[in-house]
Amino acid sequence: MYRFKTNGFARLFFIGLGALVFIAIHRPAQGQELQLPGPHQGYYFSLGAHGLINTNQNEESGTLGPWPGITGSLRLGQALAPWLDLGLDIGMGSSFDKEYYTLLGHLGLSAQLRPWEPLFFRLGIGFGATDFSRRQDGLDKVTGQAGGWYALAVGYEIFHRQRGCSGGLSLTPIVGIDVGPGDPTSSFNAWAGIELTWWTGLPKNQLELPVEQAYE
Amino acid sequence: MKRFATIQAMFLVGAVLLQISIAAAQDEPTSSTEAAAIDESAAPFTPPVLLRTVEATYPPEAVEQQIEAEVILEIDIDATGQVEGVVVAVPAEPAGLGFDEAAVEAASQFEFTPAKEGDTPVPARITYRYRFTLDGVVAPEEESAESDPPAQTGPPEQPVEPAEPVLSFRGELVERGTRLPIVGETVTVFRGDGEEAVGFEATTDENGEFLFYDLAPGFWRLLAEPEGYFPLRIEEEITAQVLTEARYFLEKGDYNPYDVLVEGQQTRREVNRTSLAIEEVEKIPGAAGDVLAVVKNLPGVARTGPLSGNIIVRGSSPEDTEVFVDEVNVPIIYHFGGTRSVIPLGMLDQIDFYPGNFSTRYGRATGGIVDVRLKRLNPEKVGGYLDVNLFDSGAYIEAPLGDKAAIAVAGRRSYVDTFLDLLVPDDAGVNLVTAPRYYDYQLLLNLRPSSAHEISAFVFGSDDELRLLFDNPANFNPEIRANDASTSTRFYRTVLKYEFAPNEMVTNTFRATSGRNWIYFGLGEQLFLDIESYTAQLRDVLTLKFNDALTLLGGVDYLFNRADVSIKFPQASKEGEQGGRPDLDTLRFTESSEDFQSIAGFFEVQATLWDRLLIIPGIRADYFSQVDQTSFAPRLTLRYQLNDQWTLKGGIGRFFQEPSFDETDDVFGNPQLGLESAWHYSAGVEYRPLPHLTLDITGFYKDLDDLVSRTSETSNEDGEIVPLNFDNRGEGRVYGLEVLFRHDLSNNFTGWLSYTLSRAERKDGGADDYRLFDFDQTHILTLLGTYYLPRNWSIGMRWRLVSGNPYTPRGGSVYVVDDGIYEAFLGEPNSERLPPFHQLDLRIDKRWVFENWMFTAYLDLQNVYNRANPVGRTYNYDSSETGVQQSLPLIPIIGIKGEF
Repeated sequence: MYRFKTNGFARLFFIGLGALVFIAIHRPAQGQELQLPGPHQGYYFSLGAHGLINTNQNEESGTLGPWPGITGSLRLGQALAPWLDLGLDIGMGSSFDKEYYTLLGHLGLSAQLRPWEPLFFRLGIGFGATDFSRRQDGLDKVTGQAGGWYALAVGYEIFHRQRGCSGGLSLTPIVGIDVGPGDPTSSFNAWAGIELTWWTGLPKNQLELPVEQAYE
Repeated sequence: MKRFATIQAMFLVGAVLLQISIAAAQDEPTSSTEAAAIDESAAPFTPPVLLRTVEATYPPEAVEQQIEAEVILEIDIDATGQVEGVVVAVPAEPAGLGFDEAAVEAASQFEFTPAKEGDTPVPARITYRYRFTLDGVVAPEEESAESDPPAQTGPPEQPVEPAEPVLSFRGELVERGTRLPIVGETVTVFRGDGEEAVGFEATTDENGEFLFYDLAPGFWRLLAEPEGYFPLRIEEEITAQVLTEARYFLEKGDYNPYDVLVEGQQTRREVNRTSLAIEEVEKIPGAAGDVLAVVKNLPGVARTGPLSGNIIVRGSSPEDTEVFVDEVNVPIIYHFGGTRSVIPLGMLDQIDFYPGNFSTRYGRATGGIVDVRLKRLNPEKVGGYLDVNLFDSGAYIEAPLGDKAAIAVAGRRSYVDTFLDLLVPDDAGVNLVTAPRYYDYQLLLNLRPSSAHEISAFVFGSDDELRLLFDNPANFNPEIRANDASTSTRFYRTVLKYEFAPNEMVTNTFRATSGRNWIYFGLGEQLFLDIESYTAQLRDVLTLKFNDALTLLGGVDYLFNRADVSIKFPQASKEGEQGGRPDLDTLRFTESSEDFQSIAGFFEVQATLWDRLLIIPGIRADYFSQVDQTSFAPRLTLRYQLNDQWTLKGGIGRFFQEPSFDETDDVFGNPQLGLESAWHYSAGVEYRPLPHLTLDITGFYKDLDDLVSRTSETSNEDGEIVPLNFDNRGEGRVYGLEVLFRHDLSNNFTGWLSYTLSRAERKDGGADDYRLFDFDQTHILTLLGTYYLPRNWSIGMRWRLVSGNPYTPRGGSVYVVDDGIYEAFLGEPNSERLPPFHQLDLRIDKRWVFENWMFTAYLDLQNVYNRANPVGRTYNYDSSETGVQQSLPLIPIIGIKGEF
């Protein structure tokens, strides 16, 4: 079974994240320029449900898992540009085993990059927690840890919007991995699922519109 | 980018757009526009006067139908008074009866006196209301066939005044979020399209107001596109005889503090001074908006622990560096020694940091200087903010008081005490009688009765308190017998400042300061430290600027301190001493009430030779009553500007400071101590390839003499052998290199790379060799930056890599029977070094802009990859086992701020 060092992975992840985000955002800020109505505009609200494969590492118990589970996510944020979103990412999940019960949670930031629509990449970082309970004569916590959370995902967006309107609704199949929180206990999760996202669109004064539409 | 091409094209195709050809024409209110931007420097304008009118032919069909109408025309008049062109601005209703054509034909034959700007005839455009009324007009069928055609009704042949314009629409443009007026921007109303398009323009005045006159009833489209704002596009209905009023909030494209390229360069007169604007520092990751925490990211400043309020500058002890607020000393910098600084951001304008070789204006310090500058209040309206974060909440409000004064008030209080008691477990063995809580407050008043005089009053202070009850104090330390522990620190200062600047040559600044400090720590009656002091300061600085090449600066500074001290404490360990656990069974007691005074005079010449070489020689003299000693501190700074980009610099200077009160106390110290002194030497180069980029490389050397050092020697006083405790035989030396590569706030990015290579050593009194300073850090690398993203987001990061601090290793211990403790065997002082420290912090901000206020939320993630950085060594009771003390793990700090 594999082993990894969370701190080392986190550092590598970070260097990659920093480089990717730096390259991606190294463009002139878009100030007050108007945009044509499009799908990824305004604020977004997203709910997701995913299946989960969870593996944990603990100094005392070694590698535990993999165990199946489920996880849900709530994401709130805003489109900064058609190719970049930023927002809050909240997730909770759990995995099951005959003997163990694991609770996972995270609160962090996620950035979505869209180099080739409708395909996108998501990077997440924040605060995570992992909690074990051994199901034996009641629930006894074996170990738990709070610390960092780091995530990477890729998704494909199926967008529904009215032609000429800003914003809309998207259904997104997505797969991803996340790790956290760190020594002495860390978890490694692979997940796949579906997310439903609503984009509010931009107000009219920020859109490039025909005269009649602009003054409606 | 084709932002508004669609709308602009429509205008070009068919609009009858009123273009005010000259500003002067706006002095004459036209029927449909109001010139609100008043150019006070323009020559007086004389409008054209109608000399001769021509009666229009009343359209027969209208006479037949007994229809009256009104046509509004725009008449272009050349500089000779002749009519150049006539167009219909507002056609007659009903249309199609010939009113428009008749009015145009008649107006084309009018004659005017030319408009004048001063004495110069100029072209002009006016609007003219032509009314067709049927008084005395008989329908053709009612008259005889031989009679003359019905009399025409129109204006009499004598010259007439233009009709009084009627205000139809008054509007106001203000900036969303700040409510500031948008001044001097064009507002357009229009309707129709193609050949029937009609439109008018107005300009907003100093209040953001615009006016339109004589708009025909109906729907009009309003367009405003100020540079840097999202456009205003709205439809308004104009009703006859009713004034339409509206206020419009326009959102800026972004609310960056500075969204223009830095063009001006502040004249630099120091070897090393780093100035940070408050807008730059409030979003730095890891600092949680704390202004003094930001200074720790600059070159020459060592890294200290997360809850440490110490500022270690170029290898100097914390007490060697002074912190000022507007040249007024701040006695207590941090709440509870290191959580949050006592100075919130609201009233601050700028931070100046001098790591060494500072001006003669500053003294009584051998380390560095941090001077935090207050805002010069000049609010245009009432404004302020409420800031809530993990540690505390604070509020700030400022308001103008007429045209010549302004006031600002701020306050902040922690609330960890409200929930900490809930978090402390019942079996912790301690009860929080008063959970740690702090608050601070500030009041600033500015008065400018005239341009030559400015008066300000600044009151600030803070209050910290903590009290614990122990269930069993021996669980914490077997020598503790008290059941309670408490600590409190309070201070306030009142500063009155008067600045007199009658002309560009003379500036005199006088400050009078007074205040009190209260510091208390106690473990029941077992031991305590109780200090109450009163301080007063008078300071006057006169600057004479003869020309750009010569400035003289001089001043005096008188400081008075009265301290009432009552202390029952063990002897505290000093820097370099590995005291281990304090011996609470051996306490010393002292009680005293003493006055200390210090008076200083300083003088400085700033001379520029050959437009390139800046020489600043200066001298400062101080008298310290505490040690009854006078010091003379010469200083010299040189800056040579090779060209626009390169500058060479160097400096040498002498610096003095008095020992701390405990070092001169009869019981704890040595009253015969003298001043500590230092020589600072530095040389470097500055390179400025672009206005917003600076590379600063400085080498430095500090020679520290007469340092207070522990001694075991004694003296014979009246036959009694008394330990000296301290003497002035300590020495120190610090040398190194500092690099600062800085990108000023422009192009949506600010940040810097700071690197320090240094070695700080001390030689204690009586020692043969130098040892490392407790806070010596060979390499200090900091990389930080903040980028302003679209949609009012910003993201910042800070990464630090720092050499570990030195420590003194222990090689076992021996059990001392008499004391009942294990005494450790100590190795060479500071001969080992902890592993390197490195940490990444992230911060992300998002601002929402509403009509009258703005809301910001931020998340500050400290130690993002959760590194367990070693920051110290811990030992068990007999030093047989050792562990590593770790720094804080990943900590998310969330804050919100509402501004109006």
